Amino acid sequence: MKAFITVFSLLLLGGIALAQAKPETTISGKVLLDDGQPAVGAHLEIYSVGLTKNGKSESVECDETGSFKLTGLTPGSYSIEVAAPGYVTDDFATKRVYRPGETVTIHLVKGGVVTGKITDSAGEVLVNVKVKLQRLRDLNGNRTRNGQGSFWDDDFQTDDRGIYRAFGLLPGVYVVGVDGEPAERWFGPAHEAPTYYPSTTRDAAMELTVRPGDELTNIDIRFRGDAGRAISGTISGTFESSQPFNRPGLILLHAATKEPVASSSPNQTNAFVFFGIPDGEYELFARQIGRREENSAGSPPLRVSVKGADVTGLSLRLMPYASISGRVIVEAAKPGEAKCDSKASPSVEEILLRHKSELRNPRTLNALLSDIDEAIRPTAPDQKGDFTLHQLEPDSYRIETDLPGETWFVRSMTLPASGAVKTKTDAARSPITLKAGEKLTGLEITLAEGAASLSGRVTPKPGGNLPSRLRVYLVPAETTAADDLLRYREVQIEKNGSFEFKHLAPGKYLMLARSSSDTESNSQRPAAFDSTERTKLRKEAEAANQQLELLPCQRVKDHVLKF
Amino acid sequence: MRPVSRLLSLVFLVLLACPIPALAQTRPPELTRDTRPRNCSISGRVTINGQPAANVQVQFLEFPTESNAPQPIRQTADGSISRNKHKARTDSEGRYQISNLPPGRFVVTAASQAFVMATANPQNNESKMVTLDAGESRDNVDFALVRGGVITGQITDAEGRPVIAHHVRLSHVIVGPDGQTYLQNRGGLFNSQITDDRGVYRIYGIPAGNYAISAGGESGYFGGNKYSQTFYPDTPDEKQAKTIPVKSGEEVTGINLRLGAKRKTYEAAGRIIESDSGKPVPNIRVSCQKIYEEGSEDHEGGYGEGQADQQGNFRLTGLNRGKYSCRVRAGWMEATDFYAEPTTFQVQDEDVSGIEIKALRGGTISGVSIIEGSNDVATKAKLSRIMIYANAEPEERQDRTQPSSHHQTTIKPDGTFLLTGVAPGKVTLHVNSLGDRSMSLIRIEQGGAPIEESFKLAKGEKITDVRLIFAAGTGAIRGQVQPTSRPQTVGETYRIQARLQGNKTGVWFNNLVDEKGRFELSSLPAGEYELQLNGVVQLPDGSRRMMLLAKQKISVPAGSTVTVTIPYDPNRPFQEER
Repeated sequence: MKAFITVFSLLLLGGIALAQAKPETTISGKVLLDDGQPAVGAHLEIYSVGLTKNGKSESVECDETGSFKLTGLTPGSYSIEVAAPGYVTDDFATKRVYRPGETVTIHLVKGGVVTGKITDSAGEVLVNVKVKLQRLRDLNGNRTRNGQGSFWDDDFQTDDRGIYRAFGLLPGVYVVGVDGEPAERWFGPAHEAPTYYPSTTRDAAMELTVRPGDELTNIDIRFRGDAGRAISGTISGTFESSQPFNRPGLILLHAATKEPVASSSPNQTNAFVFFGIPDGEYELFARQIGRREENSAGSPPLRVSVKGADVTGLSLRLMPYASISGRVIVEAAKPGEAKCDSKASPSVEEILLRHKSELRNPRTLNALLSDIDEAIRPTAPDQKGDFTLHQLEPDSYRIETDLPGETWFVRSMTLPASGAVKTKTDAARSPITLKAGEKLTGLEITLAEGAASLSGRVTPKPGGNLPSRLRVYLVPAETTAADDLLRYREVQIEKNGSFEFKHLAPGKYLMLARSSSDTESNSQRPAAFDSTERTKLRKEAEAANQQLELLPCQRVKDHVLKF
Repeated sequence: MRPVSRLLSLVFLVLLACPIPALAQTRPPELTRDTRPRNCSISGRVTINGQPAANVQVQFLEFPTESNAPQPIRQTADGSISRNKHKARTDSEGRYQISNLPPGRFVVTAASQAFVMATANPQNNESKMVTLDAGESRDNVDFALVRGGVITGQITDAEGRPVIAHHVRLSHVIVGPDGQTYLQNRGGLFNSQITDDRGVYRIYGIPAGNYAISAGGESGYFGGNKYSQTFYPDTPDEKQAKTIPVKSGEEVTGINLRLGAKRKTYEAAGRIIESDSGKPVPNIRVSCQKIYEEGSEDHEGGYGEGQADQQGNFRLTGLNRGKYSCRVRAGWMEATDFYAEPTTFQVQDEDVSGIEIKALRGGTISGVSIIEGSNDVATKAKLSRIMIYANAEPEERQDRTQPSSHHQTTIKPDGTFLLTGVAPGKVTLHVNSLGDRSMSLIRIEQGGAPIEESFKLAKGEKITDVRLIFAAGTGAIRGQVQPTSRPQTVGETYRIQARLQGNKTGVWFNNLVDEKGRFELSSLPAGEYELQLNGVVQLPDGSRRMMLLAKQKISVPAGSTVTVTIPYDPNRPFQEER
């Protein structure tokens, strides 16, 4: 049963209502079913996003018209989960946060159903055993945090006839497995390897595509009872001893697919064991999330090879995570600079910051889970603009900003002078490198008023077609800004050729549309990050010679870019 | 010493004398060597409806003989890790046998939850505990089963749409001594099932008997209380519930329920302020519980919980009609300086706002925890894994529903502890070492004098001289009850309990008595103990009743194992102890 569904939908019609002088405190909207009927009584849970302290959740139910209104919200970013049993949101792929003042419409579709019968190797039905549906990808082929964030997808149980019926499934591609164990917890983990539909190992498992409202029947599994191996070892390093309930957690991932295979926790002598692991390649890591985030620690992932025998003597070491703290400063408009004519005045608490790994260190979870964008938890500054990005592995990072409203742009991102470096350094130009446990302070993110925005469409030359993967780039035209990375932008165009840029610093830009390779479009790393690529990009943009000047607060719409 | 144990020790000695050299050098640190002989076996027969049941899977789950003791991960001679689960299958005669088991305690389960014991039994397909000594073969571990009954149907709402993922309850219909029928919720796993996307439920493994089906009316945390309670056939009145007779192996279909309209729930909002200054109290939790008023027909629950924001504002949702009593407390593993007297409000036909909860500055209890006769740093470090709980019972209750207030903290690395925001009243302290049994609380002192049970805390009082005295458990009691068995009620187990004399605050040490009448209690600090033998019976409603069978005093010196025989009268009628 998929009781709670996080709403992260691009298809939502989110409009931003203009605010009065007072900060907005309400998010309201509607929840509709696939047939257009209101989702009467659907339960909504709203969570503040990015806060390390004072995070809170509120809940509300939809009325007879499917409407809801969440009031009394403090400035910040929020995520909404909808619980309407049997129903799911129609798209899960894109994260979406809401800010007070927004009006939203959430569309629900009937969740998919997968049903079948489980028997054992002797043909006897297996009663009250867990059936695990693991969602591998969404319908667009993207890996999502579902199955990563919550780690286990929902379990369903067989009845006295060996029949299971999994319902309320998110659209996506699944594999179905069974480990033959009774659903009761006290039986402990399975000792045999799981069998996947139709009656095979994970590698040969048949993938099932579940579309909204689909009912897949006869998904029967004959449980093979293949031998499972055991994996054991010890865990050492930092422990937050003052938190008696807080034990480190161990997670075993399938090396190739990064699917979670099993989880465990160490015993009182810091030894751990997993049972029921089939032969294969795995990545094992441990994490301890402290109640105070600065006390969190993690181990680098350890490659584990299981081949025909138990694996023992593994050793994991928890190292304290690093952090970056600093402050967001909103610059007052300088004399002569325009203050945008906007009634909405965003608050700093509505800003979200994300750390993006440069993947310099292959032995990190960053590298392991790099294709799951949503694995990164955002951070919000407090009222004074102070923030700390916690739980960072030793690696190199860039900081991404997600700004509310339309009027702000990022003017600079600097680190204070330290050691041999006597001046402030540009933290946007080169990534921030952290050692294990390093607590970096003093990152200053300066925002300014007067951001411009630009939206439009790429059109092919007469008789031509747009390539399927096309990206639009903005390159600062001023040569003095050649290395100001905050001025570079790129975006993948939508299917209809449209694109949109927001929070742009006013100034002159060169525009360029170019087709991108698969790797480029899959990578979230902008081309401008690399100095050679940046120079190349600049040359191409100069050659294309499509210049555009954006004035403070200018909203350029329907811009046509020829390709 | 019993001959079997002697044999066991002998086997151990032999094995210890000739370790496998290669393994001794390469054994990883997380593993202990498994030297147990694999010379035990269990066999028996499974019948269904009196007929031999072929191809039935029998599971053997090895359990530690001491339930709370940390379990080592063991490595066998071939380098693999010891497994604690074993399986066997019955042959065409319904017979099964498993050999190569190590000595130890096993829980044997045959067939699945779809089957129940053939004899009248409150529990489904009960597992059997088998404790094996080295070399022992236990035969006739038999299971006489019948297929349980099934009740299935569909749950719809007032408009006839399926109600998805909703709980459906199965209750026993029992006839009381006055001839009236009552509904009694069944305990255990199968008293409740949830509906699927079609609103269909299926409850199986039901022992033959008379039952009733109902849905709705639960008081859930998550606004689950949307439908009023409805009994089959579509009646809100428990007395009108239709009895559904279920025979073994029978499938009763079409037990459909149509629930009424969703009930409206309400919200309540308010503010928590400091009683004397009127300043808001931020970041404290509020929980409000519906009060059952005497003589009221309203039996449905209600509960709301929320977190106050920076301005002390809170909001509770999903409340039913009724009168609520609220209290405040710190969040989990957090501290607050405040407590509050119960504040009540009434929900009638609309949302409630403007509730004002006046928070009062509570007392503090602080002190130090020490280990008797030890200054070992490593041992001391273990204290930081111990939770301390304080329970403050109000001396005069405003009304009978006023709860006692609970506070918790941990021991700091330097051994000190501090509880804040403690409500005035009769305070009792408890500790929980979260399964680590190497340290036990043996005494609590205040101002140098031992606390028998509780102490008084005045309003806002600061008590600073509390000492929690712990001791390492190095002693053990091993024993035998006499006679070793008695005619048992089905589902009855024996438990042995020991409590250190003079320590009313400490935990009981307890363990199961095995089917041979033997028991073991370890990790006991030195001292005088009261030992109790209890019979524990699980009643059909799932509740447990404990009967005192014998009592005995015993002295446990440090570091030694005391053996004891506990005589009891097998014909003594059950007396209810608590």
